[in-house]
Amino acid sequence: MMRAHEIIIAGFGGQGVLSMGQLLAYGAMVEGKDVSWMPSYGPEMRGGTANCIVIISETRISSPIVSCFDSAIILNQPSLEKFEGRVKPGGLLVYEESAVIQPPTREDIEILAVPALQEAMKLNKRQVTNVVMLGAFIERRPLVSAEGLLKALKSVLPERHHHLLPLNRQAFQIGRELAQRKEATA
Amino acid sequence: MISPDTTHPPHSLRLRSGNQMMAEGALQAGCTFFAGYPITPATGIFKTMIDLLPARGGVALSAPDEISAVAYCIGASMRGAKAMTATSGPGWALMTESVQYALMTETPLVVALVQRLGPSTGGATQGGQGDVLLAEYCTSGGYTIPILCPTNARECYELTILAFTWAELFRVPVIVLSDKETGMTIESVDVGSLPSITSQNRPSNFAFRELGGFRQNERKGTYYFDAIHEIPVFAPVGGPRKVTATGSAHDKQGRLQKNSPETLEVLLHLEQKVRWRLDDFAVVTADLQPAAGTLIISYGITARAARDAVSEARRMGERVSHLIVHSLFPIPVKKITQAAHNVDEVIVAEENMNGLYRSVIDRHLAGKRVRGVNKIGAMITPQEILEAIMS
Repeated sequence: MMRAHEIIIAGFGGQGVLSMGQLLAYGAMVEGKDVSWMPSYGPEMRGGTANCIVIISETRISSPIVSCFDSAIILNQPSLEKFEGRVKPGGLLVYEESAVIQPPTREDIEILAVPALQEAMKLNKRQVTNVVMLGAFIERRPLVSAEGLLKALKSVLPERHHHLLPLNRQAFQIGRELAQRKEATA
Repeated sequence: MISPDTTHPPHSLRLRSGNQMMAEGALQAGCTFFAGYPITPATGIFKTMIDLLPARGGVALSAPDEISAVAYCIGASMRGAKAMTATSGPGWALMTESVQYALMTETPLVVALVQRLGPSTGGATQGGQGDVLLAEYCTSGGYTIPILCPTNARECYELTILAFTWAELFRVPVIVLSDKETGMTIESVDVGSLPSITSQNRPSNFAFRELGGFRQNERKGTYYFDAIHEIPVFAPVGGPRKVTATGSAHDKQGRLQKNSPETLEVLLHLEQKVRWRLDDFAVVTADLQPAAGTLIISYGITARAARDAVSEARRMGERVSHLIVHSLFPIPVKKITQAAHNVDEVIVAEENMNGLYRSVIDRHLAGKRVRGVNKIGAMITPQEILEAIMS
C-alpha cells in the first residue's frame, strides 16, 4: 500500500456518502492507520450534494484536504462531473451505474461501474447501496481488510440497527463479487 | 454517524472530531456549566456537552438563543462555575455585547467560536477563517481578549483546557477559535496519551490569596487591586460577601461611577492585567530552519496545509521556516519576531479574503517582505502554499 491513500466519496445527501467514509476511516484506524474524514455538504436537510474526503495513511496526516485523489467513489452525475478530472492518473473511479447518465471518459484511470442500487433493491433495502459500492471499492483497493470493515460496521451502526448486520454483510459481499466479475470480463 | 465506541482499537485510538475533543477538553478542565444554541458547524460541541456534562454532575442547557446562552454562562461563572458556550459567526455577533460585560465584570468565560464562511449567515456548512478580528475586536475600546487557535482534534482538547486556565486565572473571557474543518473533521486520536491536567482555578477569597507575588487584601472585595496588573480575588455572587457587578464604569468596589480617577484606573487595569503577562500567553509551534529565506506563518486548519507545503518545499531543496501561532491574541510578538529574525520574506497563509491576521502582525515585521496566501469558500491546499513559497 502507498504511504497515504486519498479518497473522495461524493453523491446526494441521504445516499450514505458520509457514513461510507466513516466506515472506511474506522476500519482503517482499527488496523492501526492514521485516518482523517472531512465532510462537506450543503445547508439543506436532504437532497443537497454531499461528499467526504477520507485519507488513510501509514504516517501522520497533516492536511485533510488535497488537490487530487487516488480514488473516487461517485454516486451521482454532478459529483462525477466535479471529481472525474481530479483523480490522479492511474487512480480508480468507481461509480453507481444507474445514477450516472454520462459515463466517465478518462482513459488514464481505472473505471468501475457498479449497479449497486439494482443489487440493493434485490435485497429489498435500497439503503445498503453504499455498502455494495464499498464492497466493490475494497475489492479493487484493499486498503482495509473485509473483516476490519465488517467489524467497523458493527461499531458504527447503532445497536437498534444491529439486526441489519447480516444484510449489510451480504451487500458488501455482492459488491466484492461484482468487482471481481467486472475484472474477469474486462 | 459514529456512535460511542463499543470496541477498543489498538493503543486507545478513537475517531474523534475537533468539536468532540473541545467538549471533552472542557470536561477535563473542570467545566461544570454549559449553555448553547445549536449552530453549524459548532453543534458538535453543544451536542457532546448536552450528552456528557449532566452525567458528570454539571449543568448543560439548551438556551432559547445565543444571547441567553452566553448570559447564562456569565451568571453561572459569577456564582463560581467554570462555564463555556459554543457558537459560530452569526451567534458570536449576538454574543458580543455580553462578552463585553464578562470582560468588564472580570468574569471568567470560555467561548468556543467555530468559524464558518461569512458575512451574515454566510455559508453554514462552509469553512473559513474570517472571524479572527471580529472575535478579537468585539469590545468598545479594543481590549485584548486572549484567543487560542487549534489546528486538529487533539489540540482542540489541549487548548480548551488552557483556555479555562487563562479565563480562570486572569478573570477574562477567552475564545477558542476553531473552524468548520477543524471542528467537523474526524480523525484518529490516541485518547490514552492525552494530558491528564485540569485547568487552574480563579484566585478565590477562600483558597488563593497570593498571585504574581502580590498579597491580596481579601476584605476589599471582588474587584479590588493594588497594582494595576494584579488579578482581583474572586468572590462569588450569592456567597458570604456582598458582590456588586455592573457593566458600567465602576470603582474598585464595583460601584458605578462617572469618570473618577479610580474608575479610569479600573478600565486600564482590565487591559493591563493581560498586557503585563504577554509572554505567558505566547503559544506557538516553531519549526525553524537555519538560514531560511522564507518564513510561513499560519494558524488553525491552514497550518496543516502549510506543514505539508513546507515539508514538500524542503524536499525540493528550499530553506523555509514555519511558525504555527496557537495564541493569536495577545499577539506573540517576541515569538514572531524571533522566527522572522533572519528571513527576507514572510508568507502568512489564512482562509480569508484580505489577510486578517497578516494585517495585525505586519507592523511587527518591519523590513521584511510580507505577503499572504488567501482564499475564501474553500480550504487552502498544500499545493497553493507551495506555489507561493516557490514563486
